[in-house]
Amino acid sequence: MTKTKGLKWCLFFILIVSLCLISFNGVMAAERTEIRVGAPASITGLNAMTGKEHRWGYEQSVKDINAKGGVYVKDLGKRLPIKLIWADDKSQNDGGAQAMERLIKRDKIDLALSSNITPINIAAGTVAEKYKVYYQIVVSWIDFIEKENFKWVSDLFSDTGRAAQSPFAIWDEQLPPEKRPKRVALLMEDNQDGQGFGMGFKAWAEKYGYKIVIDSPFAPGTKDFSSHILKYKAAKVDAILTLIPPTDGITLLRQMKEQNLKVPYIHGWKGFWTREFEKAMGGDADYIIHDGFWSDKMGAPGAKKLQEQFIKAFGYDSTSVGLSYANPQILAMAIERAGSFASAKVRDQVFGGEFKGTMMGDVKYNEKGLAFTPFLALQWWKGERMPVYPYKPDVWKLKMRPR
Amino acid sequence: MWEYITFGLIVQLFVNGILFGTMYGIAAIGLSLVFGTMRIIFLAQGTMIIFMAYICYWIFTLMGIDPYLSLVIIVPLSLLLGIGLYHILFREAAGLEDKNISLLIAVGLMFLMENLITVIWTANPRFIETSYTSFAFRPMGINISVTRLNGLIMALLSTAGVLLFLKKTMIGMAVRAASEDMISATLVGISPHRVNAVAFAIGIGLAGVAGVGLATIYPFDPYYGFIFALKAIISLAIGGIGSVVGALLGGILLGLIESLASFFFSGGWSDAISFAVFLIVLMFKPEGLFVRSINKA
Amino acid sequence: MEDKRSILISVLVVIAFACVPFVLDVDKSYFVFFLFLSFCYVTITQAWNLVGGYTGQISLGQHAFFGLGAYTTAIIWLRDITKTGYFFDPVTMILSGLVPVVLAIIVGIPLLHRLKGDYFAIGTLGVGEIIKVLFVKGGSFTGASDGLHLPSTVFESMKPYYWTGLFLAIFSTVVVYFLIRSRIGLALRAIREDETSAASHGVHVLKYKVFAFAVGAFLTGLAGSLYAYYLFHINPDAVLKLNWTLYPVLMCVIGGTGRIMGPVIGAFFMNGVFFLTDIYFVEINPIMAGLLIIIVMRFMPGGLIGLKDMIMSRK
Repeated sequence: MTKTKGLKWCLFFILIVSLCLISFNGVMAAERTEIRVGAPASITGLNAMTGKEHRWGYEQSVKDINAKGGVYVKDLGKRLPIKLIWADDKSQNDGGAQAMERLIKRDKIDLALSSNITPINIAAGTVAEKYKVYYQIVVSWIDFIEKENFKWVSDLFSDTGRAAQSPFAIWDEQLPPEKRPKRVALLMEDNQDGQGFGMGFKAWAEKYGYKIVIDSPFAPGTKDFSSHILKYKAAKVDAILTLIPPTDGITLLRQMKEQNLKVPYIHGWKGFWTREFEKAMGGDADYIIHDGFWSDKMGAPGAKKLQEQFIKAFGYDSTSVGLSYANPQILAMAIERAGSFASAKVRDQVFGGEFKGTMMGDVKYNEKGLAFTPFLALQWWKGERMPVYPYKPDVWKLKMRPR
Repeated sequence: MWEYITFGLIVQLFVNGILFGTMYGIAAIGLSLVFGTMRIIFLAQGTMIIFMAYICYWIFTLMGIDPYLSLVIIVPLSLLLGIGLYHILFREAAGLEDKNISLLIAVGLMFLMENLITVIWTANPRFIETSYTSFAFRPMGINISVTRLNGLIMALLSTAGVLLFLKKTMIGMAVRAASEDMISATLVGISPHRVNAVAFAIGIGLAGVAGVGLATIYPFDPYYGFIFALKAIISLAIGGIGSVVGALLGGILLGLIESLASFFFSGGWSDAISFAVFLIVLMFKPEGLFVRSINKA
Repeated sequence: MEDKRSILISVLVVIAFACVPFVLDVDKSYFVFFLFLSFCYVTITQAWNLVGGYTGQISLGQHAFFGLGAYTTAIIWLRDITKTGYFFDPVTMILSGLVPVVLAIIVGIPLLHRLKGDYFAIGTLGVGEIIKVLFVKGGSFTGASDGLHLPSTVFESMKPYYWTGLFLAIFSTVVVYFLIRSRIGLALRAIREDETSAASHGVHVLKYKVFAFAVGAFLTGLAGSLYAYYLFHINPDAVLKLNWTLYPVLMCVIGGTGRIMGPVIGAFFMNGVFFLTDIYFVEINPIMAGLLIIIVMRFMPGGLIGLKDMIMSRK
């Protein structure tokens, strides 16, 4: 009795789920009224904060494109608006794959834009590759993407090698020899980005002739840095290079203050750019250097307005949203050049293509579909972000915190 | 790292470890009480702590009330929340033989709360910045953070409070009797729902205390809680499941281990080391390191 | 009589599932992907059911076995160890099941010998986390945090994934089904009910517990191997995340612990919930999923399979 009943229930549930899924398995209209662009994004989970800003950048960009009447598709002889479709990658590496499956199979997307974490995009890119859907990535290390040998995936970002060069270049360029750091410490989050970055720093330090005295990573999720700080104190460290999440970045600096450690040069990736950081630190944020991919001061068309809109939406300014904004821009240009939104044709325009006047300035992809954009380094000063890399002598010169 | 060792540095490492471990300890006491009566590991404790930290943040930013003062609001609030949660969610499940049910309700609660916090307060980091944040006493060159010291004091006071409650009040003694043997306790007329609800409420109440402690020391985000819950579970197991003082001491010991491990070994290993210590303790003294001292007390 | 009927129905259901690729376009249907993922979950949930449900040893270290299975596949492939073709190669997959078995025996003997109940649960959790750190710190052998990259160009169609997934789900269900009907199953359930009394009746408690733990590890490792073929980029965050423990426990208990159909129902139901909330409540999908878990557990403590018992008793 029990067994058959159990099976009936089992069948019943499978039936319900199948009905739900089959009935929403996406039905395409005969005539195309929109270009369907899918994007995995970290809507929930650890990365939800930057995920939200990233999504805002895409949405704003698509809104602006559609406000101009959409994208002209020559093959159809008319302008079509872009419809942006989101799928949650849950901030998990393999979540990118699942989100991409959904976008391709359920939402029947034509083209795809990326999430903003390298391993998530690799997982999603692998799926895009399987079904030959063009996937246009931003914010993923190009050296990692290059290793995958993708045929249907392009990427616009920096690489860990060159990004790790900036602190050493800054010191050599802007400091007299006697003031340059002598004892450098690395504090890397023990994940893909952190390990890759750490290797980059070590390689560049050797080339530039700087000495790394402490290289101690921390496990993701670490909430206490006092032991690291004691090491720095003991080793008399005068520069810290770190990749640390925003919340923990505040913890690190607070604990340094508690432990009475002052370091002349602190340069942080991922962690120190948030406005929350500046607010939490108050005056102590001064001298600290943070990363960014974009600045409204780079002079791209519409950059000032975009920054204003961002501030209006989030209550603080952004150092990254331009890159997110540029991604749909480039895609739209590529579609117009291809005269079609078929994946193969759009991809062929991007690989080896050059796109002028985007929110990231002029973007040039190589034959493998990789485009490099330099990483910025900005120094906090009285609540403002001052550019220290690339070096602009007329605007700002690096300041070292007095001991 | 050996070349840098000095006496002062060792003392500082210990001070840091103890102050850091208190946060684990205070989370573990709550777990210990809930485990004592309901026999479940309340996985959502970390998320409850974070939720309380956000409430503390709200009280601080919206009403300008000092975080320590806000304990007067937060503790009763969380006690009520605890009673409410118990009666709405766990009442039926607590009576069942299969403890997985209660465990999973806790997991569901964790999923729900994490995302709810994200919806209400966004995923951006939040923090409480007061005049005494990052302030430290420096006796004899040793740095003692004032917010962390307050955390230790709060932990000690709440441990003492819970112990007093368990020993001196009728309902407290009932909770203690039920922790030792629920069936016999029921036979002598103790209502299981009442003791469960009281223990659960105090557990959440302690989450309130821990939330305030955490909010004053750390910046936090919605996903901060789960790691805390994991560490609290380890503390609990090290100290002895079901013992209040053991949980606090277990937390402090864990903090010490982490502090020392990340100083002497590369930081990435500290998690593995604390798990290994915890496995060794489980293997050789599964009742926990500090349990006997409790029974004597 | 009843048995024959249910076996007949099971066979029919299995045939129906096996024929799905002939009806739906496997590479275009999201539903087929849903089924594939559900099969993976059925496999690991059934494995957990044997250990947690039938033997009563709540293991929270399944993610270690899953990850180890996935990594074994990747390492054998990339280092060209067995020379057997690697992609959906039975030898590779079976080895990916056996390596977790070795781990299960090594950690299982001390853990199952010394620890009971909740202590065992937390102990296995600790083992899982240690394994994760070892992989993150594994240098070039495990590819550290970046993990290992398999050549994704070998992918042609979802079909082999679908059928292998279906096979694994059936295989694990059949294995568990026959195990619990055998003398071994009798011993396992005796252990769950009362260890001391089982021991006094001549059951070698530790041997049986380790056996169940190892079989669970084997099945989980197989699923890990299949997932490695699907993902191609094997990294600690993807295959060693705690979800690979949390989900099987969740699915098993939601479906009905210690019942052969429990994991099947639970896996399909929860995976369906995850998929649907993902589509219709994108912004708040964990809230909806959490709410559903609470509701099911609050009102159907026997799991979904217990639902019919409740309805029957009301009649």
